[in-house]
Amino acid sequence: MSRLLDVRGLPPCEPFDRILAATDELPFGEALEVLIHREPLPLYEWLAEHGFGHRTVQESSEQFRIFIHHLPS
Amino acid sequence: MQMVSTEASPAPTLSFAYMLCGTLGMLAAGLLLAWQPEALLTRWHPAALAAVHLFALGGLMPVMLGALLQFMPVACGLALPGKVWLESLILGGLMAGAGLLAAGFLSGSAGAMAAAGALLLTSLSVAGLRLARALWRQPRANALQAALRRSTLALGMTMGFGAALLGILIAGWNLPLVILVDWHALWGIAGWVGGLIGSVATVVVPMFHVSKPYPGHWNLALRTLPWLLLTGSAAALSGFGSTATVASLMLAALVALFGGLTAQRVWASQRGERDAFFWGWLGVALLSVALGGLGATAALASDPRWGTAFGLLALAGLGGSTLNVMLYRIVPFLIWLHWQRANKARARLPLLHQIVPERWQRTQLAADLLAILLLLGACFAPALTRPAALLFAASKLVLLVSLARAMQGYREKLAHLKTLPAASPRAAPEPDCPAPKVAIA
Repeated sequence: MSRLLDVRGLPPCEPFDRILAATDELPFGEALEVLIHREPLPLYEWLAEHGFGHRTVQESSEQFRIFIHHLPS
Repeated sequence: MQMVSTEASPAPTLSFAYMLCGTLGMLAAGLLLAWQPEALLTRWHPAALAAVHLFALGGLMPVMLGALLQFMPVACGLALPGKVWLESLILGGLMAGAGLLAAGFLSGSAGAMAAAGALLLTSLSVAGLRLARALWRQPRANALQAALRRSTLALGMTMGFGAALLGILIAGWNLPLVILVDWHALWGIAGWVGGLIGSVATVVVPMFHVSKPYPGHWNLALRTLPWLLLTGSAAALSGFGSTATVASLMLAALVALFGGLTAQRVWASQRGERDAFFWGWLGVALLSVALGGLGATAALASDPRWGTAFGLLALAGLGGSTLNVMLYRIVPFLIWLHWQRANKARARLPLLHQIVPERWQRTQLAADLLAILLLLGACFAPALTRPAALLFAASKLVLLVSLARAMQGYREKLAHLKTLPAASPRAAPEPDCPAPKVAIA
């Protein structure tokens, strides 16, 4: 089960802000699927520090798909 | 894919220390010009040399190094490892060295210049080698990393020319002073500062203005930068003055091209907001176009005042104003990012544009632009120098206060966030009632 969040074309820090809001609503066992126009390197630090794992797929130079999920505590 | 570890991003307070010191250095250079307005009569005036080095080494350099500490992990995925003692060595050496060098120019003291040279060459070597180590450890460099490598090489060349000039001033080395001064300045402002701005802009302008990327030919043009500088300086040192002039003209064309491409992207911004950041970047772009024109005029005209005006616009305009505008995004972004990292309670936080008030940004940037235009006028009408320099110093004071207030707010809110209990994550949905796939774009 996954939820889709499309933040392509938004200026900083809106993508980050929306992704964080979406992770607040993300239940255990589900994944958040994010479409974004650049690789959000600072987000990875935040995810690791807040108990989330992620997998990134680069679909083109201007499109990344990131799957975010809770890590088992 | 490159991963960034938590340790890769240093605490923002380190970068803030660099940025505040740099802003203070720019302010000090403005006050020096106001104190000795005759500095703009000739670029060889001791006060002119003191103000230039105070601005470049005590102003631009700390801001650039502090910004790179954060930019490298965020944009390149490369860490610049550092310890407090190392940062103290770099920043302390840089600020003390810039102050001593300015004092050396003003007093003519060879001792002050020798001490300044030792401090500056040490701190800049450490900073440059750390940057080079991070950049060259990657087996393959992308366009941004390659551009940063070229800028780092230009920093090394600037330092080499600077060391030779110190040899002339302190030990009386028999070297061509004027040629070395000209190309020391060009390697510094075009190769190091310009190269860094030209490459960092390819990331931050499309990102923050939500506009199309710079065209591929800009990266190709940027690659010619060190070759133009190398050709120009070698030709000048070998007595081929016309070849050096052609290289200078091509450098002028390059900066004008950067200005044009940047203006195009800022103007076509899809952000839809005509705020200080928009006008600030548009101003920087137009100043770059003007700098190209001034550079060409200075290379061809016999009146040395064009050269003074070119140097002033290159340092205070391309260098100072660009960093000034960038600080209004870098500092709030770092504050916001590090608040979020500490925000285990998931409390509501101020938005990015609320961290430094828009009204302050607009006022400061307008004063900065007006001061630069007046200073350019002062190269031809000396009576303008003192009021222009005072306005310039006042604008940097407003910048300093705005940033310091934002950083104070950062510390206070961070301390508060750390006292809040962590929010609990949501439980999984019941198996017989699965959550649907939801588009929340």
